[in-house]
Amino acid sequence: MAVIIEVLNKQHKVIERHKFAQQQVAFGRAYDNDVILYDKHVCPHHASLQQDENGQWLLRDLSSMNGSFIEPREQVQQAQALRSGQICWLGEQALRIYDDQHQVAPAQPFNRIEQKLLKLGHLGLIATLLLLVLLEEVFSLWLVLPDKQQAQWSRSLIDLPLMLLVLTLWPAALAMWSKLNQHEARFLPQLGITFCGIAVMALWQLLMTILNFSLDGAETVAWLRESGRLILIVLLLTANFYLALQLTVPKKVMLATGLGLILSLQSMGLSLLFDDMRRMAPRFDSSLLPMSFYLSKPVSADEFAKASDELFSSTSAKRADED
Amino acid sequence: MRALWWWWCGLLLLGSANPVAADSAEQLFARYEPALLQVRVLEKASGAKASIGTGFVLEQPNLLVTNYHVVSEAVLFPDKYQLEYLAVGQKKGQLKVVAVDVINDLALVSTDYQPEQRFSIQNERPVQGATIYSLGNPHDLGMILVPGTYNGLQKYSFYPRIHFTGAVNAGMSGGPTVDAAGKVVGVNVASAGNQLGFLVPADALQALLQRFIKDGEVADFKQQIDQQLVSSQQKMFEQILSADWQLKDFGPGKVPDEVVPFIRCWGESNVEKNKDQLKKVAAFCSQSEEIFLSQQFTTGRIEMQFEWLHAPDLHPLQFFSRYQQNISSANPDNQAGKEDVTAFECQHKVVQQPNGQHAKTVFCVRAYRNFAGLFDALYLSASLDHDKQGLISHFTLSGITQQTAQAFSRKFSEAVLWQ
Repeated sequence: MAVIIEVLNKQHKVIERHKFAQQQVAFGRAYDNDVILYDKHVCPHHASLQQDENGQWLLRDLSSMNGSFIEPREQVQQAQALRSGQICWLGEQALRIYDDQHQVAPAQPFNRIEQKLLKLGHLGLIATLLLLVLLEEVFSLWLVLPDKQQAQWSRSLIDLPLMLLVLTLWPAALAMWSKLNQHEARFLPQLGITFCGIAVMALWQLLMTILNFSLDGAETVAWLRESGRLILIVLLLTANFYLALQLTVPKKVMLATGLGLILSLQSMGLSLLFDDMRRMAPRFDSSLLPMSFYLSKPVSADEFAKASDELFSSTSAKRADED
Repeated sequence: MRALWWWWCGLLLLGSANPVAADSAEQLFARYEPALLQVRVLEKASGAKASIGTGFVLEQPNLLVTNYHVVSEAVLFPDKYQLEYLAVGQKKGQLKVVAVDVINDLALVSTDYQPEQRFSIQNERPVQGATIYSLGNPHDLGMILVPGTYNGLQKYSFYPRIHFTGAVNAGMSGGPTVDAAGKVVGVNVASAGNQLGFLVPADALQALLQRFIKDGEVADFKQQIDQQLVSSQQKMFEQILSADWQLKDFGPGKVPDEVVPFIRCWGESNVEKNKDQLKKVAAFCSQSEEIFLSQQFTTGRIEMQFEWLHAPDLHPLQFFSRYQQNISSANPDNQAGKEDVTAFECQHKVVQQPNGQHAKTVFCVRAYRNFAGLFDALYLSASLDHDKQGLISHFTLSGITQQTAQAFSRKFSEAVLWQ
């Protein structure tokens, strides 16, 4: 019966895999060993693995300087039996021993969501999204910056690549994490997901601006805008984590929701803080767009005047409130 | 501090006075100095002065007269402040407010101080150019006499005020201004700096005295002040609402001009400057005399603003983005704290005017906490029917009833026209 020996790193990731058909395997730093180890705390002839007459594999320590251990960190006195799949240490070097009958996990089917997300890493798509984000930025500059102020225009345009660079930091960090943990960076898909999220967010903002004007700054629009933004952030983060983290799907969604909530609550908390400072100034919806963007029916001057009764009675009712 | 907002100007007025006037001025001062008191508002906790002013003792009845704004803290917050007088010879004593007129900024105060010589009220108005003498204690420097000229009533003021050419300074508030015979023609109230002083005419004092004699001491000052504010506001707005509003051309439309004499208008624009693609023409109108209620709280102002914005070189979306910035913040023009008023509540809608034009219209209201039925109102309207130009019309009213605010709002929105 053959034996399989995995050489593990400190995080117990496999770095080498050997298979031997013989009855005895020698370990150590010396070049005459079957498995030549690199760790400086391992002796030249540190230990050996032997199969007894019952087919049981025994780890024998060859009076090494730093000793040999078996999961869970038990020192091997002379020779000790090993189960298939058990980890042992020579000095600090971890090894995992299997016999060739050891059961392996069934094959994973292709994950459809993962496949779809990976498609977002298409270079053409990323370039299109990048262009969209840039266009949106230039559009918002164009809205507020007068043509005459050339200096301000060029300064703002120079800032754009910097902004894009900052936006790529997030997918870069995710790719780095995933590279360290899964040997697979998936930077382009992460970049695609992130820019897709940003573009959709900008589109949502635009839609809400029009809706807000159309519905006269109704509070429901504000709620819709905020909850939509939260959902978009959670979706974006979930997609990011889907590729970057090796967690179960519910855990990924929970992590993304938690992070999204923290981000939104932070911005809400900030606005509440400023709210208090501006409490004495009247708060009203000042959104203005050309009349063609107005989708509901305007009220008549009489209806507007009549509705103001409500303001007088409502503020009168609050006269006695201490706050 | 309101009691100290007089301008200090150190001009020597006595140099040009003729010998006869100087003589009588000396006599006047010597005769009446004992009837002049410094009125002090003391904070109870620290025992320190919070503000000071001047007061004078009347012959009949034995009451001290001063400005409401000198004693307002003691009227509104009797638990926190108390009043004290300081007379010649450092004599001190307690004071108690018995009646107020916030519209004319007057207060009647009872006192145990009984000087031999006291002031009486002149029932005739002086002739224009007559020399009159303002008495008071500027900047806590001691009682002084300032001769000056009676120049009739202030021209464009809703509240009657004597225009006095002479230096009235901080701390002289509430002091009397007398004619050569020593009779009170007015009460020092405000200054616009540089020899420009304002006095409350003696007939306002006379009216307050008559009311006090008839009604006696007031139990609830807040209720009395409330009534005064409501009736003064009604008088003012009766005049405004019944007036035939003169409109003036303003950009592509027409807007109200100086609709009554006490509302004054100014204007400005940037159309000649080539710098900004957004051209603005603005006009402001206001009744800027406010009624003092406390050091944090004033009321009674009216303000109207019109702005015409046009940008032929901008795209409509660019224009509207900047148009929006122009209406994004609007503030009331009177001072008020959280203890004085509720938070504003607003409604904001696109409104279709009877002539078919559309405008984004905002109307905000806040209620006075201590005075039932009084509000501050703010209105803002921005026309929406044109791609590259817009007309903003805006007003704020302070210390107004619901009915009057709504009536004014109707008249105002109908008067602003796009042609």
